[in-house]
Amino acid sequence: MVKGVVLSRNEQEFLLQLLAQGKRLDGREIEQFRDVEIKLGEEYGYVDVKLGRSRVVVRISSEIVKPFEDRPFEGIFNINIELNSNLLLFSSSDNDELLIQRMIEKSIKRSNSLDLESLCIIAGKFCWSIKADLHFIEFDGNFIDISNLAVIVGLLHFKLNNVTINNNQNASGGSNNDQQYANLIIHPINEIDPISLSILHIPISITFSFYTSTSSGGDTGDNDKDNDKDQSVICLLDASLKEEMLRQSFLIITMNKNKEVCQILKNGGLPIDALTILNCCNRAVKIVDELTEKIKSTLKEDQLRRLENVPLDELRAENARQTNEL
Amino acid sequence: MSRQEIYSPEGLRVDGRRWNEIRRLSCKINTHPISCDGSSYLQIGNTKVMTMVHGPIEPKNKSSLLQDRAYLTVNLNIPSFSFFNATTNKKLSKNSKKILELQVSLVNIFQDLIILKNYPRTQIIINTIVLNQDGSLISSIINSISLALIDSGISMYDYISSVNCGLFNSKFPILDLNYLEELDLPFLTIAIIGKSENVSFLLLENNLPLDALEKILAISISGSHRIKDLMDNQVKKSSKLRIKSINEQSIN
Repeated sequence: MVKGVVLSRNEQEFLLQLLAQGKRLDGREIEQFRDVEIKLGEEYGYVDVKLGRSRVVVRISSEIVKPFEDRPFEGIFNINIELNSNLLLFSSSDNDELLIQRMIEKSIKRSNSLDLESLCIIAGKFCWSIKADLHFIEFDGNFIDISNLAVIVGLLHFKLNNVTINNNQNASGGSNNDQQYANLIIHPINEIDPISLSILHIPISITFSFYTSTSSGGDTGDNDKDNDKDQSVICLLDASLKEEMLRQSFLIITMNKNKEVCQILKNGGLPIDALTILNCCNRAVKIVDELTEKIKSTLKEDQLRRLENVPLDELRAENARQTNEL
Repeated sequence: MSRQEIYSPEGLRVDGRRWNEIRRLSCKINTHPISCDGSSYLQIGNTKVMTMVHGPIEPKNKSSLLQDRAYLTVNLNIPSFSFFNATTNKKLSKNSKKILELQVSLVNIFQDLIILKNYPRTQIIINTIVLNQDGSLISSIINSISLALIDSGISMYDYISSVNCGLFNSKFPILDLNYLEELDLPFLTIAIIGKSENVSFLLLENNLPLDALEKILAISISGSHRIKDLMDNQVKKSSKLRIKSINEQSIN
């Protein structure tokens, strides 16, 4: 995936030999995911995710727009990816950007994770348009997994302003667009509590990288290929940048906690036995469970932290009031 | 609204097939013997795909010249007439990203299948035109390119054959979907190298329960093997014909 920078032959052979021995450059196990660190910002929808040395920042924003004409009951969700070309080792090609974008679209949009219909305000007239802006701050491999994770955490964390529709003015409204806008009252966060997006399930993508034990770098020779059948394929989880540059093929699986596969992509490259693919899927289940737990606990902590400053006792409605008075 | 039954209790599908039957596959190779080096025409059900291979030739722009292997390009052309839906134009403009992605995938698939290092400092161009779409688009494109490459005589490791397989009611796998079935069912597209179980390409875009994956993979692998046999027969048949005509010419 990464072009432009080439590893020296010594380095390549060293890395591959290490992998053949079941060791990795950063001391991880073959199937060990790097530590995920999720930081939630003060504002709703700002998420900073670190995966080892990779780091990505996601900002979710919303605005009210007119829905697409062929889908009047649905809101809009867009993903905008900015690959910072200053990241030294990583000369971005258009393909990478396309791949990430399509991947996130597939795993979050097409799997119906974000309920678009809940974003509708008035059918055919107003809906929320949600935009996710991704920025890569530091890049050390595995950008599909990390960006997918960051976007879904961002969506879970984000909250929409409460909107009420003012029906009284509607009668005098007419078709004028300005007046139509006047009918919507968008409440600021400090007036009415904002509402979370309705996320139906949490898709998490896991990338596996594949290597054969005796190959001298990128080009598999004639003889290597013939021997492949007898040779064991090394299956690596969460590859770092250098490992990613050497891999011969990869498999991206997106799954949720309900053991539902949202998306699988194996994009050519080294052919992998079907059984190995099934094994990978089963292995992914465990990691998905762990990550989902992690996301949930982080979000819960954040919520509790926010509630600390709120004088809950004063907000409470259930005081000694008589029910008759209501 | 009367809904068509995708899979009836008697085990029949919309077009009368059983669950494990592929549609009629007919293919030809060497359809354009003069204008290109290798060509094929593949028709599975109502899906029709035509492929032309140019090369190995001198690269058109020198920047794409690689010292140690051939440079592979795939051009995918899906014209709007190939699809009968009224909203065709809209669909295509939306799909342009999808087509780009597909082209990248195709290059990746065939990069490892063709022995590119046999043709250093050259370019191989694959042009594919979809004439009619009725489901299993990606797999037909892969099959068609595979045939055209064989016709062109470019050295490859093996056939690559592809098929798609869906899941009905989260229980029953259904092989080789047509357009109507693709709309309703989650399905995956798989590409298999030769008669092995080695998966070169795997694409799943809809939600599918994990438990069903094994079943679907097994069925789609045997389906791909079947398609490989059908293509192989056709290749052998047409090469026999060609040898015969060459012999006749030399006698005359």
